[in-house]
Amino acid sequence: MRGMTPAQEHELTLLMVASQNGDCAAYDALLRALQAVVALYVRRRVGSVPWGEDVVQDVLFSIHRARHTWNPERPFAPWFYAVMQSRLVDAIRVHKRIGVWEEPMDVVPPVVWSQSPEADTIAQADLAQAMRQLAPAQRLVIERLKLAELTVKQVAKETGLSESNVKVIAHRGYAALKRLLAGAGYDN
Amino acid sequence: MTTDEVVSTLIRDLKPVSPLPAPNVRAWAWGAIVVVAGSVAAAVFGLRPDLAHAATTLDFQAHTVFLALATALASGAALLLAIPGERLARARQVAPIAAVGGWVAWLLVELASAVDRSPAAWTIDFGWGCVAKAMTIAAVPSAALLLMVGRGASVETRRAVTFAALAAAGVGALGVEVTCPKTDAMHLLIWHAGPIVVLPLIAAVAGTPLLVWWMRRRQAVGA
Repeated sequence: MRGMTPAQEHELTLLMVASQNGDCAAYDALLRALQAVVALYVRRRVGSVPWGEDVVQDVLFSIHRARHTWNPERPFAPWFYAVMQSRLVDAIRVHKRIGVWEEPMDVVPPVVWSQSPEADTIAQADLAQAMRQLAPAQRLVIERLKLAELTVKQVAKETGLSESNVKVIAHRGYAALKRLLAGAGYDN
Repeated sequence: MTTDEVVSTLIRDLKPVSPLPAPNVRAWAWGAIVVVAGSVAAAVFGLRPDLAHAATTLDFQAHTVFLALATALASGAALLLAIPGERLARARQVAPIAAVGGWVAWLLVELASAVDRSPAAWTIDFGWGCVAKAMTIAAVPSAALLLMVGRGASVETRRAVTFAALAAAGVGALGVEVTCPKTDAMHLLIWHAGPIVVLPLIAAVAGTPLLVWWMRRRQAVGA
């Protein structure tokens, strides 16, 4: 059944039934098993893309939201693959759209304003702390763009990513930084 | 947020859920809603005075059968499409549209023969009252069907919404069929059949994003 053996499907079916009944341990096992299946599926379909992990997370969220729609009397695999495929198709569509509309220009980073040397030191410490919390790919891209002052094209060449992927990762990284800094009390 | 954190969040949010009943069971439940809403509408608007006689005519019987088929098949398709992984066979996709097409073709034949008898059959009267009546009759069933589709997690939202709108428009058209005494083909074609063609098209364009938004909002983690 599309890459899932009957034994695997049987096991996942049992875990899903238990999850529908509110069994947290079974749900944990189910999500971790599905996480691996989704990651493999995404890699096979679109290769190693920076947003692959986002799709994995999106699929897990979708399964959580839709878990009441699976009928235990029906096979699990078609239900699961339909959810997974729809999330992947959506993700591909979104990333294609971003690629089409993005203009070839550099990405502007957010600015952390400081009022005094002390505040500047605090801001730098918070920024460094926020940077450490970013996903490795986001951290790498932002560091290469802003600390090494490379262009998007140079970063793309250095990392082997496409230019639009570099921009997407940078954009998401800046958004994540903004959230993290807002959590640390910065307005801008 | 890392995937491990996502998994932890979802586990914290886990609550027991009751699986949705099978789509055909839900379709019957919707049918019951249609019967109740139709009875109320008939009581409010009153049945057409010539209904007993009209029911014996082939035209009325054909209209009713085509509309009932379109409504039942479209509602079944919408509820099936609300469930991920359920496959809607091509024949089941085409059948509701074919039923509407059959009804429209029947009306066109009626119109052609009416025009043969008198060119005045081309005259278009003012029938917005029938459209308003159809919308009123279909209001509760269509809201119920959209809620039922939204309770699912459709991965083919556009088609699900379009079939739901077709089913709702079918209920409205059936309601008007038994409450409007007009029998001229042009009136039926424009004011009775028009909405059943136009409404699903509007729903396919405008209804889909609304349903997606509502499904996501209702099923938000932690909500």
